[in-house]
This record gives sequence, C-alpha cells and structure tokens, in this order.
Amino acid sequence: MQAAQEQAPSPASASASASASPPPRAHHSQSLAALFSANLRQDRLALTGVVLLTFFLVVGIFAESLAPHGPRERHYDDAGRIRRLEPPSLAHPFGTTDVGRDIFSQVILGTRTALIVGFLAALLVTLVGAVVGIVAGYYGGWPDAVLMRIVDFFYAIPFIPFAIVLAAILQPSIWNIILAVSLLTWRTVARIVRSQVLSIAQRPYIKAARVAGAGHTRIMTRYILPNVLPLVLLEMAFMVNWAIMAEASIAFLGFGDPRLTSWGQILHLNFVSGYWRIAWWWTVPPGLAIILLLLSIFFVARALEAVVDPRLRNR
Amino acid sequence: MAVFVAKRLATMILMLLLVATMIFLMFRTMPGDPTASMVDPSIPREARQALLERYGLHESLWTQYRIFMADLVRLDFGSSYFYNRPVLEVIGERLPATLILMFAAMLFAYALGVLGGAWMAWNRGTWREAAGITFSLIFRSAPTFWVGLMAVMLFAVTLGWFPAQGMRTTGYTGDTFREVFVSLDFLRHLILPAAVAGLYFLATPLLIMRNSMLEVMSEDYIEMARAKGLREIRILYKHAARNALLPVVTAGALFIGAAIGGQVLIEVVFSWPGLGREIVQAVTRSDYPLAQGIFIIISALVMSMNLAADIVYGLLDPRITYH
Amino acid sequence: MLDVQNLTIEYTTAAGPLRAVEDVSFTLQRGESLGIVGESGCGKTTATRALLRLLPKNGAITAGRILFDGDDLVRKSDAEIRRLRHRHIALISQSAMNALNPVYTVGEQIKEGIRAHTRMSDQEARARCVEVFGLVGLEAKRLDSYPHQLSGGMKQRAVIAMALSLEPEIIVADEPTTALDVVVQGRILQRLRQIRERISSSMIFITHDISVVGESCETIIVMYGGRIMERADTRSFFRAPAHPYSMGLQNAFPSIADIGHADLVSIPGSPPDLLAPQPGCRFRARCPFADADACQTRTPPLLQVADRHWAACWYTDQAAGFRARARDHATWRKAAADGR
Repeated sequence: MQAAQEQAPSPASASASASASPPPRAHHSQSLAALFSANLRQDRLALTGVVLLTFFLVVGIFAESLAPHGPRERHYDDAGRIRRLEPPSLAHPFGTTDVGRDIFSQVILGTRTALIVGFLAALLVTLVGAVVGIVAGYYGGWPDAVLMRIVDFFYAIPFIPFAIVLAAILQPSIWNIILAVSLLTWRTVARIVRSQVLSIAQRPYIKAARVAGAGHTRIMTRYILPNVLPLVLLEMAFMVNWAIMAEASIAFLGFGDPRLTSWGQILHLNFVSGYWRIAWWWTVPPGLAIILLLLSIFFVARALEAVVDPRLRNR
Repeated sequence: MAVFVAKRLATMILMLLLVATMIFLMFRTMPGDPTASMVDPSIPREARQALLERYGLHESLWTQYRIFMADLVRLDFGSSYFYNRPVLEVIGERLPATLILMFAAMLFAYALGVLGGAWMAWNRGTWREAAGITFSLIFRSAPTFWVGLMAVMLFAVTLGWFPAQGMRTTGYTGDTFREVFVSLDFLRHLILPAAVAGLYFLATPLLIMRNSMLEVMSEDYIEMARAKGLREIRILYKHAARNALLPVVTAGALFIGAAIGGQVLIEVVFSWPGLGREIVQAVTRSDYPLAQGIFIIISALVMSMNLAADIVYGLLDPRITYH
Repeated sequence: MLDVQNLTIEYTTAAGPLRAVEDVSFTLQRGESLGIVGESGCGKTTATRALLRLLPKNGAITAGRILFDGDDLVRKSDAEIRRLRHRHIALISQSAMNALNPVYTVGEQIKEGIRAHTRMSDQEARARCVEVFGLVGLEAKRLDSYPHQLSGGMKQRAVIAMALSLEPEIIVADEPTTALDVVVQGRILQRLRQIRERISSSMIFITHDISVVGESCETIIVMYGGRIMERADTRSFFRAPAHPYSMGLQNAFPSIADIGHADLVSIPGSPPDLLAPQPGCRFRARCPFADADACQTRTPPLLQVADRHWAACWYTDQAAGFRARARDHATWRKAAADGR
C-alpha cells in the first residue's frame, strides 16, 4: 500500500499536477529565473497573474496611505445621521456597513492582513516541511519512520476545527492563526519534499559526494537542497493561498483577530449583521479580492510549475 | 486484505487515542479557569464548587486524563455543558446531517470532476479546456462560505428557487431518521449547500483527472486498444479512465481532511444542523466536552475515509497487494 | 494485396511542418514478410502507423494512396478503418511492456479484441485465446494473469498472441523485441518465424537492427530521413548493398557469425533535421561518397540496380567500390569531419 501513498499528490498541489515527482534537474537559480520569465512571455495567464499579484503587493504595502478612511471611522451625512448601508457612491466606492463604516478602506487594509498571514505562514510551513522532508528522505531508516508517522498523525487532524479550538484557547490573534496554519500544514510539504529527496538520494553524484567524504550536512545543503528548491518554491506558492484562505475562513467564523481588519472579518460582520442578504456591496468586494489574489498566485504557480516540471512545458 | 484492514484499524485507534490526548491537553492547559466561561461568574462559590465536582474538574490533570481516556474507550464522551445531555447523544443527532451533506457534495464533485476531467483531456489544447481550468481555479480560489453567501443571495433570496437555510422548512419537527431525511423538502434544502461545497471540492478531481488522463492517453496500451479496433468511447472510459482514476482516488483521500473544514463553513452559512456548525457553537459557548467529542469524531471520520480510499484503490488497481 | 503508393506524411509542430515520411512506395504480397529498417526518427514507425491510420492528432497523410485489396485506406471513414484494424491488419506494439493495460487480465484484453470484431460468445473467444496462447507457447492459465504478473518475454508473447487472434491478413510488428534481453529476443524471433510458417499472414517487421531482418524477411526496405534509400530482395541486399547508408548499417550490425571478427563500424553523425527543407540526398551530410553537386541539390529517385533491387543513390554504378571502402573506419570518420 505504501506505493500508492507515495504517488499521492498533495491536496494543495493537486490543482496543477497529478504526479508529485517531477523529474528533478539541478537548476541554477539564474536559469530558473530565465526559464520563468521566458514562460511569462508565452503564457498570458501567468503574465496576468504577475501583474495582479504586483498590484496586490503595492496595495498591501501602501494600504495605510491608500485607504481614504480608518476602518472603524463612522460616517455621517449632512444631517448628522449615520450613513448606514449606503450602496456604492463616489464618496464610498464600495458603500458603507450597517454602522456607517467605509467598506472600500476596509478592503484595502484587509489586503495587508491577507498578505502578511499568507507569506509568513507559507514561509514557516515550507521551512519546517522542507527540513523534515529532507531529513526524513535523506537519512531513511528510523528517523524517516518516526517523522512519517508524525506526518500521518497531522493528516488525521481536521484543520478548521483545530484552528478554532486553538483560537478559542489562546487569544484570537493573527499570530495564532499563523501558528495554527503552520502546525497543521507543514506535513504536506514534508511529504512531497521527502519523496523527491528519496529519488535524488539515489543519484550517482550524491553517492560520489559521499564517497568523496562529504558530510551529511554538506550533502543535504549543497547537493540535495538545490535540487528540491524549485519544488519547495512551488509548494510555497500553494501554501500562501492555503494560508490566506484559512485566515479568511477562521475570521469569518468569528475567531479572527478583532483588532485587525481582514477580508474574512469584514465578511464575518456582514454575516452576523444579517444584512448580507440585501447589502451586496458589503459581501461582494472582499470575496472578489480573495478570489483575485488567490487566482493570481495560482497563475504564477502554474508558470513556476512548468519550469519545475519540463513535461508540463508545452501544455 | 483482512489483515491489512485489521492492521489499519489498529493504527487508526491508536491515532485516535493520540488525537484525544492532544485535544484533552489543549483544553486543560488553557490559561484561566475553565469554569469561568462555563458558569455565570456571579453564582455563589459553593454552587460553583459543586459544578466543578460534578464535571470532575477539581481533580488533578493526570486523574482527569485517566478518567477521560477510560470513558473514551467506553465511548463515553461526557456530558455537554450547554445541552446538559450526553455528548454522544448530541453527536448522534448531528452526524447524519453532516454525512449526507458531505457525501452529496463529494458525489457531485467527483461525478462532475471525473467526467469533466476526462472531457477536458479529450479537448486538450482547445478553448474548452482553458475555460475548464479557469473555471475550476476560480472556484478553488473562492472562499466556500462566500460562494455560499452569494448562492443564497441569488438563488434563495432573489430568485426564490431554493430555501435559504436549514434542513427542513421552519416549524417542521420530525423525530425519526425517516421523517427528517426522506422527503422532497429535505432534498430541496440539500441541493444548494451540496452544490456549493461540491464546487469547492471540484477542482481537485477535475484537474487531477485531466492531468492523469493526459498521461494515460499517451500510454502504449491506449494505442494498442485503438489498433485493436475498439470504439473511441470504449477506449476513453474503459481503458483510459479506469487507469486515470487511480491518482484521483488517492488525492481524494488526502483532500478529505481539508474538505471537512469547508464543510464546517458551509454548515454555518446554511444553518445546516450538522457537526460542523455544532463544533463552532460549542467552542463559542465554551462547551468543551461537546467540542472535544465532535473533534474526535471528525478525526475518526477523516481516518476512515482515508482507509476507505486505500481499499477502493486496491480494488481498482490489481498491482497493489496488501501487506 | 497491399500497395503503398507515394505516401507522404506531415506533422504539424510548433516549429513548423515536419515531413516525417516522403514519397514512400512498396508492395506486400500475401504471405510475404517485409522488413523496414532505419534509425529512430527515419519515418519507419510513422509509415506503418499510417497503414492503420493510427497517426497522432498532429500527423496527416498529405499525399499518396494505401491500397489494401484495391481499396484506398486513406479515404476510408473512421468506422471502416476501425473494422479493419486488428481483424485484417493487426499491430504488435513497440513496447510489449506497456502495450497491455495493467488493470485488466491478459485474457480479458485478447477477448475484447476478438469480440469487437466477431460474434463469438465469451466461451468461444476464450477457446480462441487458449489456442493462440498455445501458438506462442504460453500456458492457458496465464490468460487470467494481470500484465504485472508476467515476465517481459511472456508479455511480448501475449501481445503477439493478441495480434494473431483473428488471423489477420497483415501483422505489423514494430520493434517487437527491443525491450527484451538478447536471449529472450532470440527466442521470440524464432517463435515468430515458426508461427509465420504455420499461418498465412503477411508480416511487416520494423526494426533498427538489420540482422533481425536478414533472418526473418524476404524483402527489405531501408529508410532514412523519411525516404526509402534502398528496397531489395533480402538475399540480394545482403550480398551487395547498393546505397552507402545500407553499407554503414550492415557494418553497424554484424551478423552473429561476424561477432569477434570484424570491427564494428558505426555511422558518425545524426539524422537530418526534417523541419528544414531537404534539397538533394537525405544522407548527403553523413555520406563518405557524396559529391559537391548532384548529391547536394537533387533528390535521387529509386533506381533499379539488379533484379528486385532498387537504391536511391546517384552513384549506384560505383557501389562495388563503395562497399570495399565502407569497411574501413577511416572512410566514415572522414565523412563526419567533412560534414561539420
């Protein structure tokens, strides 16, 4: 049964590739970048992805200057009444909430939260996953067996329930969400990296390096890491998406960081207010923002994947 | 085969005990007094002490753990603070709703995904394939709960085709399983949440099936089947699809863990009285025995689905031997 | 029975059209065995796939006719072709290792082919399977094995049995033994020869190994760069190859008797890039005897050099001299050096 397990693509990378073991070749980072940019010129979807992602990054970085209002600021009309549930207008492009807050500003500020959670969590997840995967795949034997049983254990834990329990026990904060994502998701990366390392460790040049007296650490960092790096980068792209989605979901359920504006939180307030059935301008923008950001990363990942896996290049 | 299943079941039980230990420790090591949220802080000290003793919370951590595990082995999950009833009873009421919604969504996603993935591979390089990929990636990028909100807004509120929430029309009370689940009214309530959840799951079987079909279609035995003079439709579904299904099955198993998360969100949006919505409420109400119990049951669900997928895989692929 | 006339096949690729087969003509008589030899990429597989109309989606027959008992296969509808495949023209695929679907038993796969073309019942088809399994020397119980339970040689024999199951007029064997080790190869080839004596099917044998053809075929076609370089009666061909490329090939694959005696001479260089237009002889760049004029600019037609022996070379009259020089390594090395 083990064989079947090994071929299993991760749920995250499943969206793009059926096989989790692209033929690895030692890429130099330079040629990797060159291949990627060559791919951009051909693949219009990938180019769209890069443009969109850049846009989101700019919005995220300059969110505070770009947002016309504070996220909690209440707006009043000339008569001094709260501008509650106003549809989009020039003053409030995405309309207002039931307590007269500017949705446009909230969505802009939410961009930053999404990007921070996405990239930090993905970084942690891939770091831990890659280290575990390389160690397990390289040493084999009991370290591999132990680490893989731990991986199996974490596969059995349902993510959202775990995250809300964790958020309820610790204080709901952005850091705890990042912690929850990292705790449960490194397993995916570990598994994929491990199977890749298993095939690389059999290569003649690894054996040659060992014969030549290279230490374990040296072999892992100098010979194996460069070979799994493209795959790790690709997985990281999927993890960014996964983390952004996870944050939005947890915040939507009301276990998010109450002090931070996030897309999930906007939708949470929208949902519990009950006005989501009529105030479409309150529901649509944060959802569209999530879709566009995730889609842009998927498109970039697809281009990256074509670089990692030469078999996919002509599709 | 029997040995394999027995072994896997044993591992599963061990894993479940580990999951239970983890969740126990998570709840017991939380900062602050667990009773603070559970009982009204204004009630007298004596009454509070009585409550603590009633739920065994005055014992040492180790004793509590021993009692917890011993109860668990006897399938006693304790008693819900909120409902004041055995946890298992509450779970038993909620489980069918969750399972039905989950299987309906999976069925929707897999039927559409497998057929659509094969179709996309067949139309490789055309605009149809590109549209299919973009379509599935959009739904993979869209938060399930948001799609749910939009679906209710459009199909329930605006168009009025389907009910907006719940499992049965408001005011209806059914007692037996048959009364609640076997009816047209239930089906009408099921369609929208199942379709929304299914659309989210869809990308995985669809894209894997497509990639896997493309790989299989370049295999020599496909050319051989053509050389044998078989009809294209037979080659597509008997020879290519059967082989291409293998990775779809495996990926599906690993996807279930994530899928249950999506299920929680769907249940909340559609007020679907299942385990997912219940665990969210239990955590909000600090009803820890109930949250604990549901957590363990959901884990067990994930594990049994994985096992089921492994067995199905073995049935589909004669090369797999169980050992 | 089979008459291929001026067959030309092109692939549409990202880099432009690729003419994989050009102006190929040959005939095949009932019971005849024909060997098509050439390096990989010479068009031999493409040409024979065209007989079954099994070209990939980007490949098309752009000119020529394939007459099978007088009917042009190029013009037949898909349904007509489907009925013809396996029943009349069967294929023994290149890689027996992968020619069988791993999820069905061997017997199921053979029966499926039989039942697609006949009204045989399940039992009758099964009986026929047992029969052809006997023919290839496999036990009947192997019918219930899955491909992964068989050795490479057994799989190859099962594939051969499948091709024989409907006693087709023509069997196309595409490199039937390349994936196997030498000993098994020899056994399979011998088995094929025995079978040919017992049934009346004609056979087209595609291979890159010229010695295989020498032992199994009456007629030989040598292809290079999509064109026929030489077409001859096998005996005449081995006695006196008339095309420089054939001479090179013969040196590269010595017959079993020669091993250990003669030096192996391989042809340096690589086949021409068929994406580029090809004026002159296809072999000019690697040919040690090519001149600076005709060979570079005009494509030589097939010229008769003897009874049942044709070669596409402008200098067939000097073939005897070429043959003597072709045995020397230096001749080929010099050509490679000049070519670059």
